[in-house]
Amino acid sequence: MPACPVGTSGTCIGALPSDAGRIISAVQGALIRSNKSVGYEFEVAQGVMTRHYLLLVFLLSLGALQFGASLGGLRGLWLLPHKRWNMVLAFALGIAGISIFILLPIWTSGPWASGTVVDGTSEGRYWGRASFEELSRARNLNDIHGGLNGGDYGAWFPLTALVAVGFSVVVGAINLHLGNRSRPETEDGSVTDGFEALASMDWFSATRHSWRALGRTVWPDLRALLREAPRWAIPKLIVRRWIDV
Amino acid sequence: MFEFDRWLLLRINSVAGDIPILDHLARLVASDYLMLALITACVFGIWFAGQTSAERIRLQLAALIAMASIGLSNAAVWVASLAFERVRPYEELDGTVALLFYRSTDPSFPSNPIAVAFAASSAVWIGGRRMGIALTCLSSLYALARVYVGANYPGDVVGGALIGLLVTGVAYILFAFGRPIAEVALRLMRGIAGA
Repeated sequence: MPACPVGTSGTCIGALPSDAGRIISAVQGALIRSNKSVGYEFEVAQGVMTRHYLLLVFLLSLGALQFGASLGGLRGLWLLPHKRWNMVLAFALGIAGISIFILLPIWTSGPWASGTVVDGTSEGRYWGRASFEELSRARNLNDIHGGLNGGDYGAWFPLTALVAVGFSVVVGAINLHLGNRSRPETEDGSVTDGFEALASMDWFSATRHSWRALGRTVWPDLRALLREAPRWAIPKLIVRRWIDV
Repeated sequence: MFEFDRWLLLRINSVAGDIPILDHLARLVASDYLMLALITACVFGIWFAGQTSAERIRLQLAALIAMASIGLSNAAVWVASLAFERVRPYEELDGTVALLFYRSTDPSFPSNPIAVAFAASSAVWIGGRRMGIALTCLSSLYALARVYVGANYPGDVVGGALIGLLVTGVAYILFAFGRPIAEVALRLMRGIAGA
């Protein structure tokens, strides 16, 4: 069975690092402990890191969203019916996200096999589970050895945050309807839009109201925004040729 | 100046390897994943946090400036690293630096993750002082950890922080000259209950 250090692909016979003896013995130890096979490719390692990163980002952004929505009183997005519980849940989600991300290498195999996670390098690691002592180093992987690069962060974070929004929208709607707390109007009887509407109704109802309100007020609102903009603002300089602002 | 930078790095890094718990914490904090994800999640969270209409608009504009700053800081770091190709401390001072991190192949100056962290933190400061202070403290801790583990010189993280602050200033000015484009975007997002 060829043993591939992370960052190599294809057949790896003869591609062992210079300190091969030390690594082979470490791998043998890791194999005995984790009962996992060695031999993997860069894409496989990056796939594992990506999945774990997505879980971290999902839990962190869900926690941040819930904390913000609790402060902002956006009941339509709350996962729990009470503000205080929801804030506690938000903290718990954040802590769970970080803890799970740090601890996962103990339970799941990746490019952090026990005995091969050495200080100051992410090369020459083998596939398997990390030991408890190696946890703080297990995730320190260069992007050429299976870690994520800047482009991956930039692409995955917003997508995962959107999933967290979708999750909150659905659970928030169920939550409001189960508790029969969805109210399309404010206490003085006026219908609100945007996040103000989310304070008393689920996202689906809020969007319906907001969309109608947008149709009614979009042009006066845009004109007012242009009027409020300073006279040196570029959009104002452009549109004032045609519109009186 | 470079001499002072090396001296300061060796002073901070001299403790590395002596206190295991501190080493573990520094490795976790210096990681490419945790702090940046945490700071970006906070930027995401402030989008929802406004309690009044005016506060909501202020925080959402700050979040938009933060997003623009993060993008601009990456571009600025790329340009700066072309101009100053500084090698990593573990390459220049091989044997004297206790390296607790992986050997990055990117140039050392300026520190890209620190530039991103400070760009996001300073933009959040525009929206709310308390949150801005909290995130700046996190970013500073991140910068210190990057030096402690031997991944960057102090000058690299200071340079990254300055770039982060500078691009936030640029983004703020661009948003001011572009008014009311961002406000119009927020108004349209209100139409789908997204702002």
